[in-house]
Amino acid sequence: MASVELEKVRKSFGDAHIVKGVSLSVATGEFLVLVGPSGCGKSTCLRMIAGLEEITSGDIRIDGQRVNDLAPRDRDIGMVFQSYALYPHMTVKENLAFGLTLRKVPKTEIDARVNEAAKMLEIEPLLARRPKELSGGQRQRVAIGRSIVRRPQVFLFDEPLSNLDAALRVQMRAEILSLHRRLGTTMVYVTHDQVEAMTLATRIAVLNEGVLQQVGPPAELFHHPANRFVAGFIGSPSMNFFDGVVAHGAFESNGLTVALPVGVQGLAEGTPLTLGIRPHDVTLGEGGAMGGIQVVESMGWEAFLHVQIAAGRVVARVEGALAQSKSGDRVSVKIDSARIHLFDADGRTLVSPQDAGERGLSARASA
Amino acid sequence: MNALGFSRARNANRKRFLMALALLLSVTSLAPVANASPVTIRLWHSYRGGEQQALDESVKRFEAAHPDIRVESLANPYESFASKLSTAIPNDNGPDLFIFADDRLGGWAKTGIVAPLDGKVGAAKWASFLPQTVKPLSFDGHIWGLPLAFKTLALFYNTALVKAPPKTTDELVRLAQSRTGSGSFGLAYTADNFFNHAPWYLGFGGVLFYPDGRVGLSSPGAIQSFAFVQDLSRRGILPKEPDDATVTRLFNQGHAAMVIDGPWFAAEIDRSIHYAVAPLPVVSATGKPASPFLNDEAVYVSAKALHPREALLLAEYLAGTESALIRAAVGRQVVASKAAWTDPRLQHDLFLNAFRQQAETAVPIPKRSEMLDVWEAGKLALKMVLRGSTPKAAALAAEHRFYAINPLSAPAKSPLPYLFLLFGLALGILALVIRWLAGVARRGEGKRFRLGWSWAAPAMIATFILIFVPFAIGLGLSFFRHHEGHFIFIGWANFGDILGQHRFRLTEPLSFYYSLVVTVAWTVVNLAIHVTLGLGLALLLNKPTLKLKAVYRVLLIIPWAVPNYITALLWKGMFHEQFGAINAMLKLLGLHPVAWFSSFGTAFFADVCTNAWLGFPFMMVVCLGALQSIPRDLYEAAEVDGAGAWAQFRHVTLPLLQPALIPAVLLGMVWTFNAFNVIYLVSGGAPDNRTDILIAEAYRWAFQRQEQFGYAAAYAALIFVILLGWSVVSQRIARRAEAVR
Amino acid sequence: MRKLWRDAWPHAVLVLASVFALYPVLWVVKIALSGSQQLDSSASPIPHVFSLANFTMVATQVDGAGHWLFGRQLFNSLAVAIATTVVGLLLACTAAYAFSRFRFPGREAGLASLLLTQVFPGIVMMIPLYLILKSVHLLNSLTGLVVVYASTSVPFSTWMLKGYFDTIPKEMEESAYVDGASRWTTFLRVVLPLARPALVVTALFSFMTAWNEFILAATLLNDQTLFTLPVALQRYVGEFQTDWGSFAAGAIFTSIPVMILFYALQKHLVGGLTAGSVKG
Repeated sequence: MASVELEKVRKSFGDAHIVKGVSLSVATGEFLVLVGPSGCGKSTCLRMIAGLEEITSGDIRIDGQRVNDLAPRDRDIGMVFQSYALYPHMTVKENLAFGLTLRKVPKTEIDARVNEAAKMLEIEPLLARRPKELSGGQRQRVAIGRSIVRRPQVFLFDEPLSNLDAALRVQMRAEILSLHRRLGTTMVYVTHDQVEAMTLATRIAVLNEGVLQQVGPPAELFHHPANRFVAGFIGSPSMNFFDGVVAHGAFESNGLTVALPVGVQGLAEGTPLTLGIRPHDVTLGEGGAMGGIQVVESMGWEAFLHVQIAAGRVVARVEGALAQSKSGDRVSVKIDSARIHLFDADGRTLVSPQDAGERGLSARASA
Repeated sequence: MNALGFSRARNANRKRFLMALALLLSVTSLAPVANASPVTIRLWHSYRGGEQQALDESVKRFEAAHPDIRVESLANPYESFASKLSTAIPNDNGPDLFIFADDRLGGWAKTGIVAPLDGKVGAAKWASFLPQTVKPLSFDGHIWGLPLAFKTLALFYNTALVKAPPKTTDELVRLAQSRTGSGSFGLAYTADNFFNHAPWYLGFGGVLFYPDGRVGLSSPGAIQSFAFVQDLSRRGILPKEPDDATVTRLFNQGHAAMVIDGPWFAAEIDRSIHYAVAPLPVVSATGKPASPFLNDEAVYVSAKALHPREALLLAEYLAGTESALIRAAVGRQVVASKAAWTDPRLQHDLFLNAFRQQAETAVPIPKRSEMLDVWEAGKLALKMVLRGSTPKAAALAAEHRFYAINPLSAPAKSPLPYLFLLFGLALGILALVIRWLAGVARRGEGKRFRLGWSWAAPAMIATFILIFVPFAIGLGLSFFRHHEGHFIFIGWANFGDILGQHRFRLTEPLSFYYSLVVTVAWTVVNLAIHVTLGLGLALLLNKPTLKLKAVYRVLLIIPWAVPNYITALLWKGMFHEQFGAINAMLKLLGLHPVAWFSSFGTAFFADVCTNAWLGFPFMMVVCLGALQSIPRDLYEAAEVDGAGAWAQFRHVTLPLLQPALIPAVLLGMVWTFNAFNVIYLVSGGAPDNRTDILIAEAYRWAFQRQEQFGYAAAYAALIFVILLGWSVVSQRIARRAEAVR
Repeated sequence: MRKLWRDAWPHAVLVLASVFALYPVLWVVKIALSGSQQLDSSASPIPHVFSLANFTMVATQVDGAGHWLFGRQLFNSLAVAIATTVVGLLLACTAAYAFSRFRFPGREAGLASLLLTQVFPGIVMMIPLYLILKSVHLLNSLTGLVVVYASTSVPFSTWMLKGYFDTIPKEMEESAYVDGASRWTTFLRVVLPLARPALVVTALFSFMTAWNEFILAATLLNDQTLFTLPVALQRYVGEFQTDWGSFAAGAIFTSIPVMILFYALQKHLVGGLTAGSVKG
């Protein structure tokens, strides 16, 4: 087990700068999820850690040792690929044993370790088969098993679940989590799916356009996003945003007026701001901005209502009777200034709601 | 160590050992020491069958008589024998002695391939040969070979149909006419071959070369001889498009009363046919005998022989009486040794005597190198008269052709400016490479450079040394003119001549531009047919419900697996005007038979048919593979969208085939552009080189028209430039196709 | 009736095509079986004489020293073709891998130059090749032939293999690197096994090129026991007359190994030839 550190790591292909100076450290035994939209450089970061991609500048250290010039095989890592990359010409057993045979591990020990991993992943009956005879979930297990048997210092996952169907994905998520708990190995996990990130991570690192946006435990990112990008990326459905200005000491955007919360009341008139509020913080009731319901995403007891108000479209999470609303109904949307996030013109967070109370946690669970 | 070096080393060791042994023996028993180690001499020939047996037998006897000499004989394929000799001997890799006819002697004597023998062989020996066999071996005041045997044409006749051979051509025509009709012919021989025509040509008084060096193809006698052949053909005495296979078959079926052929023909005659051989008749118009060429087979000692003394010993033995008798008995050869003819066995051999008698009037083939061009020009005239041109026009065309294919006499130029240019070019390229390498280092790409090239280098080095270097040297020859074994630097003259059209009109078959148009047409038509046929069959074979799929696939792939030399010749046979299967089918359908090789269109069609047959399996397999990789659900989607079979093909199959098909087509084009096998074997350029593609012309310039290697190299260079231009264009097409994926 | 027609017409076309494909080949068989030496292309291609004389004559040829020529020549051909295939593939597959996987300076130029060789008219290369082989003392040896054949097969093989390597997912190799394999190990144990269809087809092509070539072989080899089958086959073509029966029998002997290969590799042939360009 080891720590992983990235220091001012850059990656460019000619004039295309993919990773623009990322510094990040992953503690021993930590489960760090690198998340971001596609093309943000997260996979490149992972591949640089693995040694599959050259580093343009900066340093990567594993267990304190600089590994910039080490070949992948000398870094003592395990990696699970999105496509699994199982060797089609080998049986499951040969796939699992491949890394160990290369390292000239004695045959008896290979057998023992392969069996142990197979048992852990419940793929023992499949050992004699070839990859093409396996289902997607089984292939996924074999791919994981292949890195487990070598007992590497660090596990790297490159979007391992994206080729699975929804139900299987939830199941595998739980298994990876329990695997982490059992092995306690440092894991770096790349995904574009923020739900995966929230459920798996000890800490999340959000990456956008090659720049690290925020690193922290899931709850912190959810409740105290560092900027508008993180606020919008974390949480499902996404946060509602309204662009507006400070007017008469309040936030105003096309007919929507919200009082400025404590701490930012000193803003000058006319300062451009963005207001953000999560769907579960939006309430329906008298005295709000009126609007028509465009879409109802009903899940039975709860529903997400997409309401068009003058300032824009807003998504509200409602429960019980309100979940029975129909599209076309007119409702009044209320935005509580205690529940809002405010971002400045550069997207930096000015204020977030103070209490990270139970409501937030319950919202996360329901997501 | 290589084989050669090894054997030399071994020989040296053996020599040392034997010398030691001999020394020991001389001390103990005072036995003679001389010739303790046998000398190995190498004898090359292209004899086959009985002739080879006879030679082997003679060699065996020679070895028995000379225990100190070992003979390694090598039987070569005739087709590559001459070029092998002229490549191997100057490179010290040839034999000590070899057997060949006299027709190439001129060139060989001038280029130092053979050594003169007149000083080394006594006068008595020369007097022991039939004089007409010695004369052809003299050239430039020396005698260069010892005659073994000779071949000449004579008249074979079926004794059941012809009681007494005709004495004059008038008799011949009368007799032949009476034996002609209902599928039978009075006379059969390959009339379009100038060697076979020579008896008439010379008998009518045709001149080969005037004393001032001009060619006599349009001399009055020549024109008369062409008219004579045309008359034979018009009377129906001669079969149409007579080739060797047809002649043989007609004679063996009793459908040809007389055949003009050489002694080798005897081996082809069926046991059931009773025949005799007589000298050719006297030409009635001139009173002169019809005089065939004498093909004089001789043994030559290489100018670079390692053991000339021993080689001469063997040569003299082979030319001697004992060997000649074996040759006559086993090889059925008409031997040159006078003494052999006094042997009773030979005296009573009617067959051999007929040829010996014919030799009295036979004429040696002129030793001038221009004679090579007479063969081609003469053939042209014969083909033309047989197709109906007037003898005069044919003769003039032949004369024109003769001068047109004569080697360029461009003056030698100083290569100095060119060398400077070349040097400058090399320097420039070197500078560019160095700059590029410096750039690589500066940009810090050194590591990737080393990685990539360390993997690619072995293949690239092999490609460079064995493809690029030989090709560059070959191209360099295009600045030279080949003359009697020497290359003379002439600058751009070859290119100027080819592109400037000094020798041929633009629309003439041998003009570069004409051949280029034919080549392009050839390439396009072939590819179109290959793709259509290949794709069509692949579509059928790809039907999931089709039964017997595996069987069809196996059958359809067969043309790919059989060596195409023989199948191409069979295709030629199938297109034979009188006896070919294609015309037989046409007749069954009630259509007129077609003279396939008498017009450009039909000859081209025959070539294309053959090439289509040879090439479609490859395209079919490519298409089959590509079709199998198209996902089925795309067709389902198209069907749901309402696409019919045609629309599915047009909008799903074709676009998705493109990535596989385009590279195959582009490569196929390049291959077809340079595919000279089929043209050469099927139509042979007929009629009048009209179907020759560029590469076939290049081949003819190099190997049939006095070895004009430089000129041929210039052709090759131009072909290369054209294909290079084409590949730049096609790369764009391919890239566009890539964008489609 | 219409349904019958719909099922029958593909068979009609395929039968016709098969007849087209077989017709000349049947003739080769007929001539070989005729027991005579004549080229007969007139009547039906169905043999009416069944004589194995030509086959036995071709197969039992012996030279002056009593060497069984046909056996030696068959062996030579096999040795040359197999060695060419092995050497050619070894050279081509590493280069193809570099061109497919590494982005290095000179890559494009290298690829283009390989393509360029395909447009060289071979006619001018004969004499220079002879001189080159002479300078390394490989004139009268099968090794010399193999060297030339193998290197001339490299460009085409490299392109074929490169096309196929391009379709192999990169992750397969990356996974092997992470598993602890060196580049070389990855190449040998992961990439090559995955490229088997393309290797098979490329091998077949190299094999056929070497198997059928005769001009170079006839010029280079000075020893009958070193001749390859196509050179021996050409021996039946004489100056004035050709032994068609022996030639046909020899041609059949020569094509049998190629046919066996074709049918054994049929499955791969269809996939390996095109997969490289389609799946991209």
